[in-house]
Amino acid sequence: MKTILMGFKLGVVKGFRYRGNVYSWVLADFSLYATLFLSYFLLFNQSETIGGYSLLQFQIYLSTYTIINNLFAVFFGEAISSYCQSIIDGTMYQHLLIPKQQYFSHVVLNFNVLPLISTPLLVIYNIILITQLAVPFRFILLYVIAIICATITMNMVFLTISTFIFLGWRVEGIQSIMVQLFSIAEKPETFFPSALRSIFVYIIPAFLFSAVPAKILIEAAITQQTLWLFITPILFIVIYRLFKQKALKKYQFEG
Amino acid sequence: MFELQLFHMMRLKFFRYRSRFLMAYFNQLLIPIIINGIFVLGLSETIANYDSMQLIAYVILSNLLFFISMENIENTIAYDIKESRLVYKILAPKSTLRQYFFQGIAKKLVQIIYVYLPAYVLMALFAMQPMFSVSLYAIVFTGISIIIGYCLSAIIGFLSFWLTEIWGLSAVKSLVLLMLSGAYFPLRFLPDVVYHALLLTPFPYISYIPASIILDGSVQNDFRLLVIALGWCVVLWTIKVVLWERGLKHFQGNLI
Repeated sequence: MKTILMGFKLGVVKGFRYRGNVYSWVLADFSLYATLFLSYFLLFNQSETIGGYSLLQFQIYLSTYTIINNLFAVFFGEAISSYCQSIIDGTMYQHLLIPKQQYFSHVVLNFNVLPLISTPLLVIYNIILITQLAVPFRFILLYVIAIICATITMNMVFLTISTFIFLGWRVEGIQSIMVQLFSIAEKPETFFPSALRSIFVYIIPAFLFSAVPAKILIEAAITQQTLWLFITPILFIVIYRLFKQKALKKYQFEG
Repeated sequence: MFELQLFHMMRLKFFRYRSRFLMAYFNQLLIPIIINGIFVLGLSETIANYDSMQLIAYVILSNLLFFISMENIENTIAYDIKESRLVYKILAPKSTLRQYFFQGIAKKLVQIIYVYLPAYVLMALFAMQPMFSVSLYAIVFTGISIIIGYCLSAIIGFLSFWLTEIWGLSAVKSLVLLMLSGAYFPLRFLPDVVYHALLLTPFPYISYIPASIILDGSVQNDFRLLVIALGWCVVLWTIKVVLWERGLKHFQGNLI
């Protein structure tokens, strides 16, 4: 806990070092959310439901996606870049000597506190929407756990991809393809054919970041998908560890 | 010739990594077209009930035009200013603005020749017919969209003379252009008031208007659109030049 707190303090110092950087984050974050929500507000002006979702339900859908994205940016976004860089430039062997988990040290040293500026607003907005839905408390609890699981899954997907660097691959391309594929999560999943929907739930877990957790609140959850949402972080952790163990045996770096 | 050399350099850079070539197909064509295509078809069923073939053609074309006109020269400009590399560019016998402009155009040309054109031919072969009829008017609007995209990018880049970070502005530009240019969904899906207000901004001229002109001949008669688009070209180009001239007076390069 003390280490995490220290890491957070370091993140605050690093984040607020340049005022220009702070303004850039705030500007980029708020424009992203404003543009996304505004576009759908305008579209809902033309129709009462879109893809079977009412405006309120779709706001839940979008706010879930934005919160998960935001949490990922705070805790894991920079850690993954730093981890990839450490494999490439060989500094990974220093991290291997640390008594804590190797990736954990990257996370602690690379908290990005600037996206946190918009987190309270997103959470408050989400809470206002939830109160309008009047959902039983057990669903809200399940929803919160689902958001945590989805954030971890997003992190584990990118972390698993980063292990391909051990094989000498350039992973930036694969990561950017994954980002493009994940952008499907901001669109109503009901528009997509069921086969494609299943692919984006069970293979490329994009809808685990929007539709599946949002459906818990809308009380339209599909048990199989919800269970999958809770299993995926564990599954990806296992896959990542297996990949890493094999890859580390081949890893060679001359300082 | 300077422009040809730039083109050759960009071609070599593009093919330096085979993966970059493949990624361009996936990231700029296949994935956005499939995802946006299904999304727009779904929206159309809910909102407007357009002809689905027409919509698919629109999604393909608007996304192609969006990627052709989207310019990211701001990162190069910001890097040159921050790292003082701009000094070398100013000292070169060619005008710096010309260097930036042709660098952007050469990069686009490489992408058009090696990515977009083959993709278009493949799609036309698959559809067994030419998918779009291209008129002179459409070519003019495509040129305008490239100039608007370049000017917006250069303006943000030149703000580096005064700002420590421009990546936030760059991110905002990409997002706003994606949503308001018509690449995300046809702007006709928006309420009338919003749609007509948007036509007065430069954004629809990046993707929506050129795509509509190519797909729907009726838009061609609206010369008002051409006047607005050309007006924006002049305004943005002037802002770019003014920022460049003022920025140069402010610039202090340190090569040590």
